[in-house]
Amino acid sequence: MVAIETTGLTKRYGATVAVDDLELSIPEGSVYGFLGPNGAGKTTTMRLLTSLTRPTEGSGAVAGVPITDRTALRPRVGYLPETPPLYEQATGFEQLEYVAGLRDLSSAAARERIESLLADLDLLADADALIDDYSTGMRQKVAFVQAVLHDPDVVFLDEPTSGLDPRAAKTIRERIRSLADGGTTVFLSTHILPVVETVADAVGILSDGQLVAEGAPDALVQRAEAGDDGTLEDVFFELTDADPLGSARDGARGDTETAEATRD
Amino acid sequence: MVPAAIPKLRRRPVTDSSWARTSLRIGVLEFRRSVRALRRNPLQAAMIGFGMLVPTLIGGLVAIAFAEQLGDIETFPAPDYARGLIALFWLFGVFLVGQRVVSARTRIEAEPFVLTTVPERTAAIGLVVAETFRLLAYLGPPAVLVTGICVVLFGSPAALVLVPLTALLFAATVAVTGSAAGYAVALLVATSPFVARHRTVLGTVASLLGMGGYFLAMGIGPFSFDQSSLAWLPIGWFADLALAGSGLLSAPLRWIGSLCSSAAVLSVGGLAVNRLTATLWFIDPVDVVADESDRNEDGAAEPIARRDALAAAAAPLPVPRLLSTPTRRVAEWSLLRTRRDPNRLTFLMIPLFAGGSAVVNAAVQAGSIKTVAAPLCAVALPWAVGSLFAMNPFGDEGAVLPVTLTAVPGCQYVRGLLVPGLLIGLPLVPLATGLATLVSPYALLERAGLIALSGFLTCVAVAITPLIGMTFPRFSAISVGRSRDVIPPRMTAVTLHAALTVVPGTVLAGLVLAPELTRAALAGLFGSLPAVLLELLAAATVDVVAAPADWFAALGDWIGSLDLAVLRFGGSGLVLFSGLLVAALSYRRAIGRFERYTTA
Repeated sequence: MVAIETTGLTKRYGATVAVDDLELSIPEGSVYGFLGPNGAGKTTTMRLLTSLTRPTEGSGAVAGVPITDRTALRPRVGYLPETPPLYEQATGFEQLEYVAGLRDLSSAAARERIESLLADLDLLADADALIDDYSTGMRQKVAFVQAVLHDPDVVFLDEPTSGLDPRAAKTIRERIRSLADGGTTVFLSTHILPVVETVADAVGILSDGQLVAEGAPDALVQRAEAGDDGTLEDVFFELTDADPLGSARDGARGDTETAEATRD
Repeated sequence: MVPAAIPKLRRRPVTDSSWARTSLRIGVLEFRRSVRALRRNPLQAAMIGFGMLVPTLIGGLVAIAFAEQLGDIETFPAPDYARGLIALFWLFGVFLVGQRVVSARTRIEAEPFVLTTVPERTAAIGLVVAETFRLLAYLGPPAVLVTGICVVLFGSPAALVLVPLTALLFAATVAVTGSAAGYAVALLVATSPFVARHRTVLGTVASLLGMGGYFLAMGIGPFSFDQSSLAWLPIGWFADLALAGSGLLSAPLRWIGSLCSSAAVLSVGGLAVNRLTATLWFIDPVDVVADESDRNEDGAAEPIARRDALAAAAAPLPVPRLLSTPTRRVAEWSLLRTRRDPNRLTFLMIPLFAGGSAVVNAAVQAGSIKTVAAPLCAVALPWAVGSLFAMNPFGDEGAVLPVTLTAVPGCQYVRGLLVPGLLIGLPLVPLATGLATLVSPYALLERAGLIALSGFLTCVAVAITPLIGMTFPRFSAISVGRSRDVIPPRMTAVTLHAALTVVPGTVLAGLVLAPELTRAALAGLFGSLPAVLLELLAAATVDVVAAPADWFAALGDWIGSLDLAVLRFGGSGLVLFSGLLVAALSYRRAIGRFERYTTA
């Protein structure tokens, strides 16, 4: 069964083409790593697939629901944008209870699920502190819980491990994998390539709004000129013409990730 | 390719010796950013420009019209009144600056960068300098007018130096004193759990006391006092300093006194600002949420029972449980957000100060406060309640907007936005109007009409707010330099909401209480006034507008000849029906807008 399917999906902003004729077919229960340099159109694609932006051309369906039907799509998807969508003036628990209420979960079930998810991410003790006082990692964890709170069919995660220390990043990676193992489809956009190599079943590489490569991580490495001992990073540079020096600078924050992923 | 080596800079130590120059630089930059932010909001710029220039223009026209009489004046009449008035303006300026600092400017923009680059004293004084420039921008036009009058009419070239110097000292002393007061209050909020928890109520009381004091000093109210009684304050002697050289006020001791008091205020105020910010910017504020939690026998904080934490936090106002869960959650969160972040309501202060003070002032001076209070409550309170919770719903959501859009259906979201205004407004507004009618001279039916009107207007004012707020959202802070957390509604939304609430409300109140006067006002507004203007235009240019002038004159005559009963009941019915229609359509359109809203 296909969880995400698009046909000729295109988004233009005036003369600028943000997403160009995108064709996707992502099976249920898989983790799809969505890669691309800055400005490639990854976030626009996620906004299109979550009905937050309307396509200029083409069509798409998520969990069998057209991406233009926001009402039907709401209960089926969860979305974690790059900036954690949290209210500074709320406590972690209030925030999650609020979102559970918006999704019309029963109070008892919501409380049980919130406490279970927070405990799982080692955040239960801080649930009654204001989000304003949370660290980056704590915010990211609350935002992650918020995205999966209603047990959606498809979860869109935009840079979910950005700014996290290795331990927190590993926790999030494990949760992503367990989501997929439980049947949830995860659409994962990130710059941190080791994360994708670790958890993704399939990878799509976007460059200038176009899908330039797609396949299993190992297969992509084999297919590219990187050779047997190449990495996904080599494939990424080859296909996107990204400047290695600039990317190295941008990816400085991923160094700890790389080291930590190697230890895994 | 190996990139070219970047040449190293000679590192200069950051010292505090050049703090004055650096503070000036920070102040100039902050002021320029304020001006640029204002340029991006033409309506707000136009309103501020209007408020700055019109009084000066009127003063200029009066000076030109009575130039001969003014030139004949040898000594200033009622000097103590002038000194008292200046002192009063100074105190009011301090109140406004303090209020603004404590509500939106307690911390410097880009704080981590600034405080790791320059000493905190430099940053704090830079903010005071920026505030001084903002005040000078307001004082500039009247200062130019006074200078011109002194030079041209009184033959005093010294005014070319003395009036600008006085304006500078006035602005600087107001800015430094107001800032010190604002930082002191902010420090109190940051260190006292009691003040932090009740800051909304305490802030409202302080504002009312400030306004009350201002009204008293302006000669309004039963306990009012003469402004001349403030003439002893050295800050009022700026009047003597500005007019020194004109021969109108001859008080050399007061000239020196104003200079010395300015020096003292700037020194002590500057020192206070330095000390207060050095503490405020580096302390951990008290945790109100932790303080709200229960404590066990050992005194250790325990989390509040997680049985409906949102409802508990929004208490004591109960949101009915018969509402659907999403609607209830949106309502509870709206209440909680307003309580925990009251700064977002500072936008209400502008019309309250500008409009409210003018109406109350006129009513009190005319001795008709008891007559005006009830209709004022019936019209103004619904507007205020309607503005509280949903004037900028998309902007209030901020980074959470994508989640909200993809989580809750539009009808439940919009209903949730309406609930707090109705919960608070429907009991309180008719109650306040009813109490005001008790002291009014109106008949029983008129009182009942006003109370019913207040309830009706509250429903309309609350119902139209979400659509206006969603049509004119604001996502960025009100202007550069203020707290990034403060996102008040757009001035366009506030103005439109006020117009749609207050104008028909005033017509309805007029039809209830004074139908003849209302008929005459409507006839003048829709008939005579446009007719006269068009006739003037026709006389000055061409005759093509003469026919429409006749049409408007006929319309005015027709309205003026309408039977009072027909106007009272027919007109009221029409306005009531229109209000209901607009409210219902606004509700529907707001739901549609939420459902169709897309993020960039």
